[in-house]
Amino acid sequence: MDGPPDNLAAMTDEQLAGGAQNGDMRCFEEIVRRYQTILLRFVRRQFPNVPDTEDVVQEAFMKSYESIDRYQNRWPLRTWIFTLAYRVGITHARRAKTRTTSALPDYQADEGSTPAELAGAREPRRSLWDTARQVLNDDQYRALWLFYAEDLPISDISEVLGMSLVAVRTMLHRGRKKLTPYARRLKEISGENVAAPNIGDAT
Amino acid sequence: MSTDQAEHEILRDMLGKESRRELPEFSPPLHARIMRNIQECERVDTPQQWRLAPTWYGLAAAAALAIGVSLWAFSTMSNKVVPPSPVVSGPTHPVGPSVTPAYTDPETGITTAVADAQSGLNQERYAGLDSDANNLVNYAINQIDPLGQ
Repeated sequence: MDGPPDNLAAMTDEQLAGGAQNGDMRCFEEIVRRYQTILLRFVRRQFPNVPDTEDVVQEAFMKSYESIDRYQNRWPLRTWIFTLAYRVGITHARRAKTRTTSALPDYQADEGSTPAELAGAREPRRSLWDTARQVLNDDQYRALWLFYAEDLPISDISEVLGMSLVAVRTMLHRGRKKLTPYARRLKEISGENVAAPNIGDAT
Repeated sequence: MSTDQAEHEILRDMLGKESRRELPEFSPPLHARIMRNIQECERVDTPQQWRLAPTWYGLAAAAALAIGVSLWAFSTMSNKVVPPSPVVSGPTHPVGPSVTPAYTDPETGITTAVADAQSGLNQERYAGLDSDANNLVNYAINQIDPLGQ
């Protein structure tokens, strides 16, 4: 077990994709190993109303395996995999939405509430990402997530979300403007052992 | 540092840290499940491809058949579009008994036949107008000569 795994670990994503295209299953398994947790986090954050996020991750890998021959390494593998996972997640989210709307998480049930109403949020400890989920729209939130959590460049974010570069830049700019006051407030009170300010505090 | 840059730095720091904290532990059962599913899918796919092969052959054969039928129909239609000119029989008029002159001299017969044919051609081509014009000119010339005398 010493030889091949070490070699695989040293290979770039794109080299692994090339190996998988040549039918080397170990290369694809290494891709799964690298992206399994990252995709799970991405799907959990982006599609919280989907009941089984592991199914989404599994389907995303299935689709990437089925279409690995069509992957062109002019795109980073990371972008390609996120794009597939995003599309699979969208499909699952739509199905989940048609099944039931009663199980939606609080941030969606609270859509349309004013910041003052949201100030009485039930969760005592909320992360900045949770706050972002409440104050940003879906596109702004996704763009910010891919930019700050996944470190994707703007060009790749536009590819994943299927938007123009200008649109992504606009999303990021507006998202930052909205979220920064909450982040500043959180920073100020972080010494008081409070995770995040209430929505109304920063407005 | 500009405002935008400051905002960017704050968010990058805080959101980056939070997202790193949220990264789940690597789950061997999930990994095994994904790989098992992929391998099962691969095993199922192979016979499916073979099962699909005859379908593709069938489709190709059906397409070839359709093209053949289309060509045949087209050629049939083409023949119908340009049919051989039908013999349209006009209204029948009573025709007097044709009198065939007895050509005793073959040379005269040939000359007469050529003249008839020529006349027929002219009749068809000019509807006899040229011969009418010719007759008119001859008549005019005949009228002028006596005046000159």
